[in-house]
Amino acid sequence: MPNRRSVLLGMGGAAVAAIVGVAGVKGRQTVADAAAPDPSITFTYKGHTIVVTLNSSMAMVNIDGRKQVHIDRSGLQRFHSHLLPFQDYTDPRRMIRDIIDIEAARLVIL
Amino acid sequence: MAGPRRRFDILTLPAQQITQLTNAFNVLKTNGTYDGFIRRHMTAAMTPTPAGSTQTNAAHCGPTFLPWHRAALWELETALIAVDPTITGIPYWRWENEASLNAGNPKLSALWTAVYFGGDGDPTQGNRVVNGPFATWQALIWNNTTHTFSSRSPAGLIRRLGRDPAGLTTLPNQAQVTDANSYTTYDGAPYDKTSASFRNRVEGWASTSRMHNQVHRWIGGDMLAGTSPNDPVFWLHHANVDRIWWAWQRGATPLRPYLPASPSGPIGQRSNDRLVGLLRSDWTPNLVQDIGNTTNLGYEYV
Repeated sequence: MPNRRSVLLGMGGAAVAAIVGVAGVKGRQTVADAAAPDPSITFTYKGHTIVVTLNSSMAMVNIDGRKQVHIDRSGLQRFHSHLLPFQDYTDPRRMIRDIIDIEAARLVIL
Repeated sequence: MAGPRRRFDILTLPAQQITQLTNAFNVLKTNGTYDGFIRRHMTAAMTPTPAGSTQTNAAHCGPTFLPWHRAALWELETALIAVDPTITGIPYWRWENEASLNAGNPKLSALWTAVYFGGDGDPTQGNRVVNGPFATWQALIWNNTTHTFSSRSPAGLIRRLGRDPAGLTTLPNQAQVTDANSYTTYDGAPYDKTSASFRNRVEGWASTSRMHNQVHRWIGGDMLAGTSPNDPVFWLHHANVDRIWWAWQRGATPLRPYLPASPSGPIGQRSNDRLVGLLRSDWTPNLVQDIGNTTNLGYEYV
């Protein structure tokens, strides 16, 4: 895993600012804190607790502490999942909400 | 069969030929052949190409998008004709025309009726398609934890025409086709979703969902997932994508070429590389360059 400095440099200030704006962001977003964990986003959707751990090329999504979904990342704010292969997202939270919805619709099993 | 296969606009086919086609689909579904096409599409979508890539896979997001689906279409068409030799070829759904039909409401297309491919999903029944020739089909869905496929119960494909929350409310129109045709180079570096090229415009990654991607997202439901061949309309859609490529190739003499030409370009995406994840490596002409010329494959669009 890249360290916090490389993550922050890779993401760029605007992306970090966007992520910090999400309720439940863990860890301080400081370049100096090289030992801190990767930036993560925690939120809930339809009763599910979701934790997204980001680095410069991917994100790992943990749903309810047991289901894991890998997301590819390219550029600052472009996310892609093989579960929804015909679209990109600028907001990983929106993508995860859609993935949870397609499981509820029984298009896929997470 | 004698002579080349001929692929027609499905909305121009007589009812008898629609029935022959959907009957053949049902034979392939019943004998298990059809589900193999679903598995192979999903598997190709999860095969990074070149190895280790996070951007491109064996069938999407890169130059092999069009050849891979052309080969898969040819294989399916071959299977359908084996069931019923009177089938002339897989028809196409010319979705860019829908804006000028039925007062611009594509949901009213004859395609979505019981005598063609069945209607929109029923919101009171989980958006399952409850009429038409595929009403009893059980979809094959992907388990992302076990990496296996399983059949969905109850039966019924899922469609949400223009109303899927993860989808889009409009279809691409002729202006998008004209735009794609303005790109005279098949593909270019970095050969991915950011390339300014014909392939990338047709696949639909430029700026926002367009063309191919937009149609998947307008139909919604099963067409949103990597198992999208669950819905047989997948093949009508991809026949139209292939027709657009076929016409674009003929925009110059000799045919406009595939790129990247070996030995340059990413491994697995070059003209001399082998397409992966198809039906049989000893049956399909399975080098990328083999797929470029439809005359060699023995079909034409009408």
